[in-house]
Amino acid sequence: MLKLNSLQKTFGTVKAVDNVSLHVPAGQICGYLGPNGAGKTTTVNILTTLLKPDGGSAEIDGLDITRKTLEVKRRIGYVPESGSVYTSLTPVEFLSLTGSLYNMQDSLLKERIYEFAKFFGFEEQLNTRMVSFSKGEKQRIVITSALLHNPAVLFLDEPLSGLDATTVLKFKELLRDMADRGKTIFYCSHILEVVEKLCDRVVILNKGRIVADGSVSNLEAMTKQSSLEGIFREITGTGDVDAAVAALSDSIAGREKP
Amino acid sequence: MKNGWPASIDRYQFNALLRVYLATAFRSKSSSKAKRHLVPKTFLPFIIYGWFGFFITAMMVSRGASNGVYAFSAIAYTMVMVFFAVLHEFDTILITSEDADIIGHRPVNEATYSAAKLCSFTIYILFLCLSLALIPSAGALLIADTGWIYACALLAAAAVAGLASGYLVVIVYTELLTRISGKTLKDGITYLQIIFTLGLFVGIQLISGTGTAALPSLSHTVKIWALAMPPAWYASLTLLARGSGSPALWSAGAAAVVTTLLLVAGGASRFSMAGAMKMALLLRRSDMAHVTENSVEMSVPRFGRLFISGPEAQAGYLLTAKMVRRDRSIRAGVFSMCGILIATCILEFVKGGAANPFEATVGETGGFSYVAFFSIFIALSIINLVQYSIDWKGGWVFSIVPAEHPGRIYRGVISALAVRVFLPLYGGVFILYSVYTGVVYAFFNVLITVMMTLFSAAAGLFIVRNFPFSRQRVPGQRSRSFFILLLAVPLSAVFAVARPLIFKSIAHSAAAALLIGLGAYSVLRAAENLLDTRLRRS
Repeated sequence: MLKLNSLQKTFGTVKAVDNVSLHVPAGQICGYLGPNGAGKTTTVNILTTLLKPDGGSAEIDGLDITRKTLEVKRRIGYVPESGSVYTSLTPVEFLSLTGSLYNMQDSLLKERIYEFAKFFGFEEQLNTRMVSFSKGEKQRIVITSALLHNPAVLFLDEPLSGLDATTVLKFKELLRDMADRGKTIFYCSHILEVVEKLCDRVVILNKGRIVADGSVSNLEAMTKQSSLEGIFREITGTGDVDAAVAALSDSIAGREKP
Repeated sequence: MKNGWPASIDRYQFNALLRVYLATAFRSKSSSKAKRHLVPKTFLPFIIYGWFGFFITAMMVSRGASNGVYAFSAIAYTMVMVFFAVLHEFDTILITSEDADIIGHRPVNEATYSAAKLCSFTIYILFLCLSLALIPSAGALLIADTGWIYACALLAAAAVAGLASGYLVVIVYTELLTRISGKTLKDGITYLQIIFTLGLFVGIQLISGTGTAALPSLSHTVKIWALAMPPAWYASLTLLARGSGSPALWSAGAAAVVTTLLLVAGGASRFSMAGAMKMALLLRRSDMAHVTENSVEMSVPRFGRLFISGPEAQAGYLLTAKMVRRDRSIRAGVFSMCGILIATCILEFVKGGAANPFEATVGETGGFSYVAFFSIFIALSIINLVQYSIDWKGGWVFSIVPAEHPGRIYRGVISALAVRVFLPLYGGVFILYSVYTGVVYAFFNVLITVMMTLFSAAAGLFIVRNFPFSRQRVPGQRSRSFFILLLAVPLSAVFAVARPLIFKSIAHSAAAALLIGLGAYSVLRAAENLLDTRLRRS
């Protein structure tokens, strides 16, 4: 499980994370939404120990993230937005590296790599250097590297980026199954439809602060909106999208007239 | 300690990380073929650095340099080359933002990460030193009063000196990055490399032309004042190894050892995950600052549109003009090559080798012309550089827009290079030649050189296979530049043979210019057709 208590992070004069408090129990998929610059990635960077918070505290599986850093790192899996891999390596080499960093036994590691390769369909690419891989192909490797060691808490930052439809379906089912087996999943995304269908709970962040927290149905009732998209618009003050679209379309059509 | 390892280092993780760092440092990223073992791109650095090493060795041996001077030269060469190689590849090999993204959230302690990074860096430096100092060390056997011990000591001293040089870069780079922006630092490095390249070229020209006039004072014994220079400290180790010791040499040797230990210790402390994350953040911020730079040029100037007609050519022009203006690696390459060409002209005049062949008393005797060589080399190199620019990452646009002749972007590329690079460069060359040889010869010589440059630039597309799609710059990859160098030599040799005919009279020169110009146009059309095919297939 995951516990945030008045977490704060400031860059210069900008409060990227402003007193964020949150408790995500085991077995829950928590969607973490917000417009660009809302502080989602900063929160995840703090929780994955990549950044130190300026104030407040956070615990993962009961361990303080600033004091028990290595123990926390052993319990988490992280799919970063960047989707970085060492492209001069093959998937087998890369996944062997990441597995080794969790001190996994060679035999278990090999077995897991082949299981994930079969599940995500990259068995034939296992020994091909990743320099020629597409974004989606790399993303499958990044996701595998986050799951290999069977983490208790999973942080996902735009994990579906570049994935094909089949892999997306499989991955969503896998996440659901993992949550049912007691894993905590913290899911950051801009794709509202996926969050709406997948997540048990949605937290919306705006300018570093939590502005909404609850299940999709609760939030719909609270904001009198019929979809997560409507809720998001209402809460983050996205404005009158329909009017903006109409203005732009009129402008484009007008310029094309002879 | 646990089995001979510090308790804080996880041996299992250390081995895994070291294997990966060595693979990323040495493995070619251009090939997707998997190899079971690490296959270092060993032979290329050995050939390229070996060639320069051979040049220095041959020069020193032929001039009868003493063993002190010989060791000093070989070690100074190693130190300078390592310094610039590490500086050039700092943020691709040493500190990569990938480390923060891939390793940062995994359970690796600082000691393990630092140890793996430190070992891989040290192995990388030692490999560089070996490729740099192997030939000079072997050549040391040809120097009087030396032997195997001296040769081995020279190799070892060069390795130690290279380590000191590499770690000095680590300290200076990381220290500077905390004080000035990454963009300013990278710009500074670019200009430093230009000055270094020019200095190296002019230095070699002067030494090979005038002999080791600057060296006689060192050709018998190492003077005390020479020991003030760091390469001399390391050179003193070779003299100590063969038994010739004096208090001054012992002091210099001690200075070498202490300095290296201090630099390695100081540099080693910079290899931390926290440092890597901080540096990655600083480099990313400076890249962002670079992107938001306020310089908007949305269309080809009205005058230019008279010559560059069609949207495809104009797009190629705009993109290339921006790259020449903004891209650090292209600027470094272009400026240093242009500087070398100007320096070559001046050196030819100083040596009296560029007389006016139209004067009845002089005539044209033929022979190798550095100006002709560089006119080919510069054009091919710039076209080669263009494919590595980040701006060409948007090259896919050309294959999706409904352009009738997408290949014509290449015409725009050549035009932009002509306006932004060749015109100012050859304007300078024309002024120089006008002063030394008169306006008429200057005009025809520069005209023919410009035509050769345009011809080579047009032909460049045939060796730049990925154009207009960008290629990833691979750390340590110098193979293509070397290939271009090898290609430019025979082409300029052909020109050297034809020179007497070309400069027989003004009419001959005008005809030659016209002929080469027509050839350049034909090659450009062929290149455009090739590009059309490439873009339609993609």
